[in-house]
Amino acid sequence: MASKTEAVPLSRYIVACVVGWLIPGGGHWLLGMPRRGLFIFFGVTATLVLGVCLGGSWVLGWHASKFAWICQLCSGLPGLIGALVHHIDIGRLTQAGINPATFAGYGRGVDFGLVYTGIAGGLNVLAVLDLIGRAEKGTQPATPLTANSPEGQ
Amino acid sequence: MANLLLTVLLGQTLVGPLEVPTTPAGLLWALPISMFIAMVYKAIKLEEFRTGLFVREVLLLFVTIIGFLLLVGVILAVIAHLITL
Repeated sequence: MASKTEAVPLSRYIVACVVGWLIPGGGHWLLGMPRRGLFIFFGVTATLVLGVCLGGSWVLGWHASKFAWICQLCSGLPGLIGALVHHIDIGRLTQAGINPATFAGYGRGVDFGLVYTGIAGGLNVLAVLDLIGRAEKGTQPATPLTANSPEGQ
Repeated sequence: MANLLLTVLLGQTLVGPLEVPTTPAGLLWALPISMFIAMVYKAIKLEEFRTGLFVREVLLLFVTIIGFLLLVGVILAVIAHLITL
Protein backbone atom coordinates (compact mmCIF):
# COMPACT_ATOMS: atom_id res chain seq x y z
CA MET A 1 0.00 0.00 0.00
CA ALA A 2 1.43 3.36 -0.98
CA SER A 3 2.25 5.50 2.03
CA LYS A 4 0.90 9.02 1.95
CA THR A 5 2.54 11.62 4.17
CA GLU A 6 0.02 13.36 6.37
CA ALA A 7 -0.51 16.98 5.38
CA VAL A 8 0.13 19.73 7.93
CA PRO A 9 -3.20 21.26 9.04
CA LEU A 10 -4.06 24.48 7.28
CA SER A 11 -5.25 26.03 10.54
CA ARG A 12 -1.66 26.07 11.79
CA TYR A 13 -0.58 28.15 8.82
CA ILE A 14 -3.55 30.50 9.16
CA VAL A 15 -2.61 31.15 12.81
CA ALA A 16 1.02 31.63 11.72
CA CYS A 17 -0.03 34.18 9.08
CA VAL A 18 -2.08 36.18 11.60
CA VAL A 19 0.71 36.05 14.21
CA GLY A 20 3.24 36.90 11.47
CA TRP A 21 1.26 39.99 10.54
CA LEU A 22 0.85 41.17 14.15
CA ILE A 23 4.43 40.38 15.21
CA PRO A 24 6.88 40.52 12.30
CA GLY A 25 8.67 37.16 12.09
CA GLY A 26 6.32 35.62 14.66
CA GLY A 27 4.75 33.32 12.07
CA HIS A 28 8.11 31.88 11.05
CA TRP A 29 9.02 31.42 14.71
CA LEU A 30 5.72 29.63 15.27
CA LEU A 31 6.43 27.25 12.38
CA GLY A 32 9.80 26.26 13.85
CA MET A 33 12.02 28.77 12.02
CA PRO A 34 13.13 30.98 14.94
CA ARG A 35 16.28 32.39 13.30
CA ARG A 36 14.40 33.45 10.17
CA GLY A 37 11.75 34.99 12.42
CA LEU A 38 14.37 36.86 14.42
CA PHE A 39 15.96 38.41 11.34
CA ILE A 40 12.55 39.34 9.89
CA PHE A 41 11.54 40.91 13.22
CA PHE A 42 14.79 42.87 13.44
CA GLY A 43 14.61 44.00 9.80
CA VAL A 44 10.98 45.16 9.86
CA THR A 45 11.10 46.76 13.31
CA ALA A 46 14.43 48.51 12.72
CA THR A 47 13.14 49.95 9.43
CA LEU A 48 10.01 51.26 11.15
CA VAL A 49 11.87 52.71 14.14
CA LEU A 50 14.49 54.34 11.90
CA GLY A 51 11.65 55.81 9.82
CA VAL A 52 10.09 57.34 12.93
CA CYS A 53 13.51 58.66 14.00
CA LEU A 54 13.97 60.26 10.57
CA GLY A 55 10.52 61.77 10.16
CA GLY A 56 9.38 62.15 13.77
CA SER A 57 6.19 60.68 15.20
CA TRP A 58 4.18 62.70 12.65
CA VAL A 59 4.91 60.10 9.94
CA LEU A 60 2.77 57.55 11.82
CA GLY A 61 -0.88 58.11 11.07
CA TRP A 62 -2.97 59.11 8.09
CA HIS A 63 -2.37 62.86 8.36
CA ALA A 64 1.08 62.66 6.81
CA SER A 65 0.28 60.27 3.98
CA LYS A 66 -2.68 57.93 3.60
CA PHE A 67 -0.78 55.54 1.35
CA ALA A 68 2.16 55.32 3.76
CA TRP A 69 -0.30 54.84 6.63
CA ILE A 70 -1.88 51.81 4.93
CA CYS A 71 1.61 50.38 4.42
CA GLN A 72 2.49 51.08 8.08
CA LEU A 73 -0.57 49.11 9.23
CA CYS A 74 0.82 46.13 7.30
CA SER A 75 3.80 46.09 9.69
CA GLY A 76 1.48 44.73 12.39
CA LEU A 77 1.47 45.72 16.05
CA PRO A 78 4.36 48.23 15.84
CA GLY A 79 2.50 50.17 13.14
CA LEU A 80 -0.88 49.77 14.85
CA ILE A 81 0.43 51.00 18.20
CA GLY A 82 2.17 53.92 16.51
CA ALA A 83 -1.02 54.87 14.65
CA LEU A 84 -3.04 54.60 17.87
CA VAL A 85 -0.63 56.83 19.81
CA HIS A 86 -0.69 59.32 16.93
CA HIS A 87 -4.51 59.27 16.90
CA ILE A 88 -4.64 59.93 20.68
CA ASP A 89 -2.14 62.79 20.33
CA ILE A 90 -4.15 64.37 17.52
CA GLY A 91 -7.34 64.04 19.60
CA ARG A 92 -5.71 65.75 22.59
CA LEU A 93 -4.41 68.60 20.45
CA THR A 94 -7.81 69.09 18.82
CA GLN A 95 -9.55 69.05 22.23
CA ALA A 96 -7.12 71.69 23.47
CA GLY A 97 -8.05 73.88 20.50
CA ILE A 98 -4.69 73.49 18.79
CA ASN A 99 -4.52 72.84 15.07
CA PRO A 100 -2.58 69.56 14.75
CA ALA A 101 -1.20 70.70 11.40
CA THR A 102 1.04 73.17 13.27
CA PHE A 103 2.99 70.16 14.56
CA ALA A 104 3.47 68.67 11.14
CA GLY A 105 7.04 68.16 10.06
CA TYR A 106 8.21 68.95 6.58
CA GLY A 107 11.32 68.35 4.59
CA ARG A 108 13.41 65.46 3.46
CA GLY A 109 13.45 63.87 6.92
CA VAL A 110 9.68 63.37 6.76
CA ASP A 111 9.88 62.09 3.17
CA PHE A 112 12.57 59.60 4.13
CA GLY A 113 10.58 58.64 7.24
CA LEU A 114 7.47 57.93 5.17
CA VAL A 115 9.47 55.76 2.77
CA TYR A 116 11.13 53.87 5.62
CA THR A 117 7.90 53.22 7.54
CA GLY A 118 6.05 52.28 4.35
CA ILE A 119 8.73 49.82 3.32
CA ALA A 120 8.65 48.28 6.83
CA GLY A 121 5.02 47.33 6.17
CA GLY A 122 5.89 46.08 2.69
CA LEU A 123 8.60 43.81 4.12
CA ASN A 124 6.12 42.35 6.59
CA VAL A 125 3.67 41.68 3.76
CA LEU A 126 6.50 39.82 2.00
CA ALA A 127 7.04 37.69 5.11
CA VAL A 128 3.31 36.87 5.37
CA LEU A 129 3.20 36.00 1.66
CA ASP A 130 6.12 33.64 2.27
CA LEU A 131 4.05 31.94 4.99
CA ILE A 132 1.14 31.58 2.55
CA GLY A 133 3.54 30.03 0.02
CA ARG A 134 4.82 27.62 2.67
CA ALA A 135 1.22 26.78 3.56
CA GLU A 136 0.51 25.82 -0.06
CA LYS A 137 3.55 23.54 -0.07
CA GLY A 138 3.14 22.28 3.48
CA THR A 139 -0.51 21.29 3.24
CA GLN A 140 0.14 19.16 0.15
CA PRO A 141 1.18 15.54 0.60
CA ALA A 142 4.93 15.00 0.21
CA THR A 143 4.39 11.93 -2.00
CA PRO A 144 3.22 13.11 -5.42
CA LEU A 145 0.22 11.34 -6.89
CA THR A 146 1.13 9.46 -10.07
CA ALA A 147 -0.86 7.46 -12.59
CA ASN A 148 0.56 4.25 -11.09
CA SER A 149 -0.54 4.99 -7.55
CA PRO A 150 -4.04 3.95 -6.56
CA GLU A 151 -4.94 7.55 -5.58
CA GLY A 152 -3.84 8.94 -8.91
CA GLN A 153 -5.90 6.72 -11.13
CA MET B 1 21.82 61.93 34.70
CA ALA B 2 22.81 59.69 31.81
CA ASN B 3 19.34 58.12 31.84
CA LEU B 4 17.68 61.54 31.80
CA LEU B 5 19.89 62.68 28.93
CA LEU B 6 19.14 59.49 27.00
CA THR B 7 15.40 59.90 27.60
CA VAL B 8 15.44 63.53 26.44
CA LEU B 9 17.54 62.72 23.37
CA LEU B 10 15.42 59.71 22.45
CA GLY B 11 12.19 61.62 23.03
CA GLN B 12 13.42 64.54 20.95
CA THR B 13 14.54 62.19 18.20
CA LEU B 14 11.17 60.50 17.96
CA VAL B 15 9.10 63.70 18.10
CA GLY B 16 10.66 65.91 15.46
CA PRO B 17 12.07 65.07 12.04
CA LEU B 18 15.81 64.75 11.61
CA GLU B 19 17.62 67.29 9.51
CA VAL B 20 18.51 65.50 6.29
CA PRO B 21 20.83 67.65 4.21
CA THR B 22 19.96 68.39 0.57
CA THR B 23 23.42 67.33 -0.44
CA PRO B 24 24.70 64.09 -1.98
CA ALA B 25 25.48 62.97 1.59
CA GLY B 26 21.72 62.80 2.24
CA LEU B 27 21.53 59.89 -0.19
CA LEU B 28 23.57 57.80 2.26
CA TRP B 29 20.24 57.15 3.99
CA ALA B 30 19.65 54.62 1.19
CA LEU B 31 22.28 52.37 2.78
CA PRO B 32 20.43 51.24 5.94
CA ILE B 33 17.14 50.55 4.15
CA SER B 34 18.94 48.58 1.46
CA MET B 35 20.60 46.50 4.18
CA PHE B 36 17.28 45.84 5.95
CA ILE B 37 15.56 44.90 2.67
CA ALA B 38 18.40 42.51 1.82
CA MET B 39 18.27 41.00 5.32
CA VAL B 40 14.50 40.36 5.34
CA TYR B 41 14.43 39.16 1.74
CA LYS B 42 17.21 36.64 2.26
CA ALA B 43 15.77 35.50 5.61
CA ILE B 44 12.62 34.60 3.65
CA LYS B 45 14.10 33.21 0.47
CA LEU B 46 17.05 31.07 1.60
CA GLU B 47 16.12 27.39 1.40
CA GLU B 48 18.86 26.34 3.82
CA PHE B 49 19.43 28.77 6.65
CA ARG B 50 23.07 28.81 7.76
CA THR B 51 24.63 31.91 9.33
CA GLY B 52 27.67 32.05 7.01
CA LEU B 53 25.57 31.57 3.89
CA PHE B 54 23.00 34.08 5.12
CA VAL B 55 25.61 36.80 5.77
CA ARG B 56 27.21 36.21 2.36
CA GLU B 57 23.88 36.33 0.52
CA VAL B 58 22.76 39.46 2.39
CA LEU B 59 26.01 41.27 1.56
CA LEU B 60 25.77 40.18 -2.07
CA LEU B 61 22.20 41.46 -2.42
CA PHE B 62 23.11 44.67 -0.57
CA VAL B 63 26.00 45.35 -2.96
CA THR B 64 23.74 44.52 -5.93
CA ILE B 65 21.05 46.99 -4.79
CA ILE B 66 23.60 49.76 -4.21
CA GLY B 67 25.26 48.96 -7.54
CA PHE B 68 21.99 49.30 -9.43
CA LEU B 69 21.14 52.52 -7.57
CA LEU B 70 24.50 53.94 -8.64
CA LEU B 71 23.91 52.75 -12.21
CA VAL B 72 20.49 54.43 -12.32
CA GLY B 73 22.06 57.57 -10.88
CA VAL B 74 24.75 57.62 -13.56
CA ILE B 75 22.18 57.05 -16.35
CA LEU B 76 19.96 59.84 -15.02
CA ALA B 77 22.97 62.16 -14.71
CA VAL B 78 23.96 61.43 -18.33
CA ILE B 79 20.38 62.07 -19.54
CA ALA B 80 20.25 65.31 -17.55
CA HIS B 81 23.61 66.35 -19.00
CA LEU B 82 22.47 65.60 -22.58
CA ILE B 83 19.20 67.50 -22.10
CA THR B 84 20.94 70.58 -20.69
CA LEU B 85 23.63 70.71 -23.39
